[in-house]
Amino acid sequence: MMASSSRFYLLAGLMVIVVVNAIALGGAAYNRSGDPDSVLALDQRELRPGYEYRSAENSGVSLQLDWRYREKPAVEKNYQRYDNDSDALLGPDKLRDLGFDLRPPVSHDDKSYVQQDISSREVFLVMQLDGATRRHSIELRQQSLQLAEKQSAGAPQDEALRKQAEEARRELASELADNSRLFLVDIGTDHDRLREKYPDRNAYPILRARMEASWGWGLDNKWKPEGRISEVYARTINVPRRFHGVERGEYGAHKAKYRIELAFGKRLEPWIRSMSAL
Amino acid sequence: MNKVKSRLEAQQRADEIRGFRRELQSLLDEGVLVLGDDQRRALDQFHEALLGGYGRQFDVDPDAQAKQLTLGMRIASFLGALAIAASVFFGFYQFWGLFAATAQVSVLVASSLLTFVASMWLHQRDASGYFTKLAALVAFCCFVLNIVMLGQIFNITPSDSALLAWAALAGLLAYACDLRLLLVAGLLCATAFVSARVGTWSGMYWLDLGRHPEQFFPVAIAIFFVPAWINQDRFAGFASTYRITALVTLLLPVLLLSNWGEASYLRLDDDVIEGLYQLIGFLVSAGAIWLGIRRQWQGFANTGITFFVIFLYTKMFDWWWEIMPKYLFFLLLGLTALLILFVLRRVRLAQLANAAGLRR
Repeated sequence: MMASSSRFYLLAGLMVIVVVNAIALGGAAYNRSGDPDSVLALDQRELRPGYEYRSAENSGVSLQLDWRYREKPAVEKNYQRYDNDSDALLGPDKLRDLGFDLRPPVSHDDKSYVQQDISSREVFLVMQLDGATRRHSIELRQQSLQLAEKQSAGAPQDEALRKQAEEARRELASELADNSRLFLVDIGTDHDRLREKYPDRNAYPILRARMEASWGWGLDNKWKPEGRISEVYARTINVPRRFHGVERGEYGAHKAKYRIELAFGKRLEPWIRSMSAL
Repeated sequence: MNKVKSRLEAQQRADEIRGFRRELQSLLDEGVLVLGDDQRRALDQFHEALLGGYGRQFDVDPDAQAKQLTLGMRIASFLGALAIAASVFFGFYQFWGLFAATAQVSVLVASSLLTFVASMWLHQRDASGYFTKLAALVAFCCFVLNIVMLGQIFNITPSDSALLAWAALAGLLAYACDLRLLLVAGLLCATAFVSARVGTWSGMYWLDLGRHPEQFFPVAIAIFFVPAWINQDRFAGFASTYRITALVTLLLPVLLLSNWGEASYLRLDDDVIEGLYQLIGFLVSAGAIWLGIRRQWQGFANTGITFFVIFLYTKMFDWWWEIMPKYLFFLLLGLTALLILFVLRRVRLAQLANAAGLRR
């Protein structure tokens, strides 16, 4: 016969397990109830198998959301042609708007501090799917291609110029067929206000993320606050069992083409509504 | 009859009886004490009945060999528990992709419920406690897996509330089955939860709870006072566990800040912050030694000594590593250890003298 104290612990423990699961499942059900916050028609460009896709020790399948910053021509073209044009979103003015404390670090005269963290906070990211920001990236590459072809045509014997033109052609093809069409366009702390500003729920998903700010010692020998998106919560998305294999296709992961209908619910948590091979 | 409430108390009493029997035999052999046959028989019968009862109820060790085996069983139980918990974790990851969401959720919830019930059932039948510890650790692991996997299946935004849920179940398992290991697990989860919440009040994201170690101070102080507010006598070793956990939770962040002033909330020069926390570290660990000796909290005093030595060695490293040859540096460390040994020996002798004076 169980002592009364043992019965108390048994009932209390069962209640903890049941209640916590009910809260978690109830929250998931609430997220998917009613009209979603946004519904996106994505494909393998935006949702692709991650680096640890299909590990032998993990039979689950998940895809990673790939998004980008607005681009500009690179200042130093040694390694890449395009830099992120993110000053407006990650610079001091935006950080101030988001509520970061931008008082300079006390040890600001110690130049050995390359980076000193300020803090982090939860923010909302507004993405744009296949809109003006993507067209801008395509235009940048078209201009690069035009310039490279003109230079190559002007010096047909120059192998380096010819290769540059080929590279520019490949980059444009990549931008049209392979690169993600999802771009970050705004950051805020008030979801309702952001949704009012970007009402199109099929083109502007709003995602929860964590943003960090830190002090960087700039080239002008001054401390400069810099922001970065350290984590997007919806970055890794579980693929339901019924869609397993679509991401693999006939030729294996990273080559398959598929379309996905991705919804973000009331709590901005995503789920895959449908997934089919192209 | 002196009622014992736990296996630890029963084992202590059994050891005292064995010690008493050895001393009694020595006194009888040397003729210092004379006992009649009736008295000797009554004493032996009383002790046999007591030890027999402890053996049946608490599975105490009857002799030194059994004690050594017990230590081996404890280690095996702990390692076995860890291994089975890891197996459950990896086993689920291996097979979960083969099932639909409904089946996944059912397996997760059922495993939490069944392993918890199994732990409680085993506790009623397992006098030794080894199998209970194993089952309880597996139950805790299943519950952690339960919440983590629900988060992955439904892409739920991470929340610090999961830490509170884990702390609650670990605490219940600890008190239900008298397991200090689960108590430590529960305290660690509770510490992480409170620290994360303290951080969010300053606008920080909860998963960055380690970025400003000062967030751990309030919960460390609260944990220290729990045994003073809530009596833990019925649970062997729990009070000591609370105090030691509190001390470690307090001193580890202090140690961190004494080397990494940048992480402090204080808006002062980093060198000033590091110096301040080094001083705090020395004072708190010295205070812990004093309090532990005064209150006879052996584990607490030893933890204080450990941290005092760490702070001291860290400071010596800062002062001398660069400017001294290595052999001289380590010689100095060794001599410092000897000095600490002498000091503690003096304190111990003073205590013994004090105790002898009181008995007269």
